[in-house]
Amino acid sequence: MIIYTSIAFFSTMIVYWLMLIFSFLLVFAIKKRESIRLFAFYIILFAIIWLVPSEIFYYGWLGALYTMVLIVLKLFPIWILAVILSGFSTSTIIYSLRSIHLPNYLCIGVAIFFRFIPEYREYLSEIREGLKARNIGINIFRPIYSLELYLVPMIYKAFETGETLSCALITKGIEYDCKKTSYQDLSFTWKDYGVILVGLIFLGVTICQKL
Amino acid sequence: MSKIINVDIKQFSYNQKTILENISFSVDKGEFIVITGLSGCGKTSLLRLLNGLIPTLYEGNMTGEINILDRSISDYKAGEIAKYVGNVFQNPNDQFFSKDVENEVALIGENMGMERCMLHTQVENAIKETGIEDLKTKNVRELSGGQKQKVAIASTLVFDGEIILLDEPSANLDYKSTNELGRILEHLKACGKTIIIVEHRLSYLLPLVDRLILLKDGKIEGIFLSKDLTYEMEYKNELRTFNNNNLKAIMKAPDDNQLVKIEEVYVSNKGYSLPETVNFNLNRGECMALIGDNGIGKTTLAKQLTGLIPLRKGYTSYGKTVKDRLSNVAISLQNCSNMFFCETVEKELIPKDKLKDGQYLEEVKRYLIKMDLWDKRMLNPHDLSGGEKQRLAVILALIKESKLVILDEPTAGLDYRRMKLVAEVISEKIINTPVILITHDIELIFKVCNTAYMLSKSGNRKIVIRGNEDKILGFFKKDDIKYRIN
Repeated sequence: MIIYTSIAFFSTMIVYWLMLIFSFLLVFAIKKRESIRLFAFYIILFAIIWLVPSEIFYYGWLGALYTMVLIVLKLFPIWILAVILSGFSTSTIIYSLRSIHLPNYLCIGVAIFFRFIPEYREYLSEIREGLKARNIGINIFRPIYSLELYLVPMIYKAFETGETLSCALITKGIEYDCKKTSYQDLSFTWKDYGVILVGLIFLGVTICQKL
Repeated sequence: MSKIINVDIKQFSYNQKTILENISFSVDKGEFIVITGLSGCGKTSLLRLLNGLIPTLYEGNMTGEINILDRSISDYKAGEIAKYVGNVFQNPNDQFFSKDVENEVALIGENMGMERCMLHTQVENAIKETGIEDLKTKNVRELSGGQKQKVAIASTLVFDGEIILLDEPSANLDYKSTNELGRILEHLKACGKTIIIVEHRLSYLLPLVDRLILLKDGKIEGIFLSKDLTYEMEYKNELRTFNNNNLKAIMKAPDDNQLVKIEEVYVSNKGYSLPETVNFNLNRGECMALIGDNGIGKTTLAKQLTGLIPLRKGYTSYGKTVKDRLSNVAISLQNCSNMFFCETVEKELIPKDKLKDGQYLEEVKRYLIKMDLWDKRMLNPHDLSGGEKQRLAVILALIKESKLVILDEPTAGLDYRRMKLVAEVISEKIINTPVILITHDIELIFKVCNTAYMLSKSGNRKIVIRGNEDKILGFFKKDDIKYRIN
């Protein structure tokens, strides 16, 4: 993932296209339905950038939006990989990270992050409901205040969830010092090696081009 | 018989405040112990001392000694105690780490380094013991509260530890799931597990209890054998009822003065819909209980009536548009912490334009004192305990000027004294504004409601509660089909 991000930032167009195709193939192999949605989304974004003249770059917030879309496009291969990752079960992620010898606390952190992405989406809609129920309106002329209305409950919710989850994890012996095992069979297969190899090739090509 | 747990706490304090004092008791192997008492009596702290969360996660100073399986609790290595003591928590939503049921149950084995083939047999067994075979590959997020608690129990069985600790496991469950939980606990007891459960709701545990430990202000008020659990004892100690069948409704019928009319409301949300439409009137002085199984659409109906979800079909007398409904209905949401947006309880209750409104301020003060929140008025609403948040949400709903008040599960997990407070403020409110109360709390229904609207797949109807106590209980106990035959 980290290697991938760095490549995406520094890569040239050819590598970018190759990476894009590669990650689309990956997501197509794992999640067919998601891949179609992602592909459509990509086409739309690309069309926007292509149709809108780049002079718009210089006009205030429209320019900022334009740049943002550009960044999203540039990092698209990474988004696709993130979609694939969030589809894995938490224990799979944690065990894979452990098997490449990352420290325990880092594994837990990363796994929890992916586990709670859907949770946060839900929190947002719950908070919106709460605001409506209290008849509190969002005011676009007071953006900071409006952001606060969402952010503060969100943070508290995260704390609360974190506390309960830590209780559950601690009482389930996550700290116990022993060799951890895995319920599912997660040994490396030729597929894994293949994917890593492709990643390394991308890295190699990028470095060569920069030199 | 051998003592499996020995507790001898001289004192436990946190921030110079004594929370527990002179707690000493011991537990035999295979015993079923219930710990109860009013909120804030220290029962959760006691449980956290037993499962090692104090001092691992929470701070505090303890003098004294706790022995589990003849070993002092401080002698266990970090996380080792998980092999012997299983835990089930109050909030079923946040206690899960994995995506699907199977992996969640297996998590404890993975953490303790159990061999894979051994782990597979153990997970298989645990899932069979709790009767959740059909949920095995499901996503944890899609389960109901009752199913989630079963998953939590299953994961305590993977290691076949002898002790299971439960912290208010029924707080978020409906009537049927609570009774089902009772049956699973009965099975575990029959298997010889030692069970310690902290709980307010006692009726479903009554047939299982060996001893009940009553805490009051951090001390043991008394230890009762199951034969001592009488109505007098329950009444004297402000406990939740031991037996739902003895309850009697006390509210008289409402006036004839009709205030709210609901016609042909079609309950539907995200692909789900209830076959029959909803029709009812509410009169002055009426508190109507809205009851039905979990997932039948009670909360959806409440949100539709409030304007949080648009109405596809139907008429509400207090507002024709979503906007009108939103401003004319006051609601306290089930997930009440979503309703708090200010820094203090006081600011939450007093909007800026009411700061100089003397009458309004008096009203706020009265509510705060009445609901036992006066001392907490300068705290951040998110720092309150679960029960305090629920009471604050109730005040928020009652204090808003509205034509209809809807309260969604306002007393789940409240002790008897606080439940009574909520009932009192509701009965004051209905003198002017009708209240719809969504709840599984039969004690609360019989205390404050005069009518009940029963939602079910086979049809909806409204009945007067007084004189129909058996029917209400029957509705809670039976499933749809049996109910139709009656």
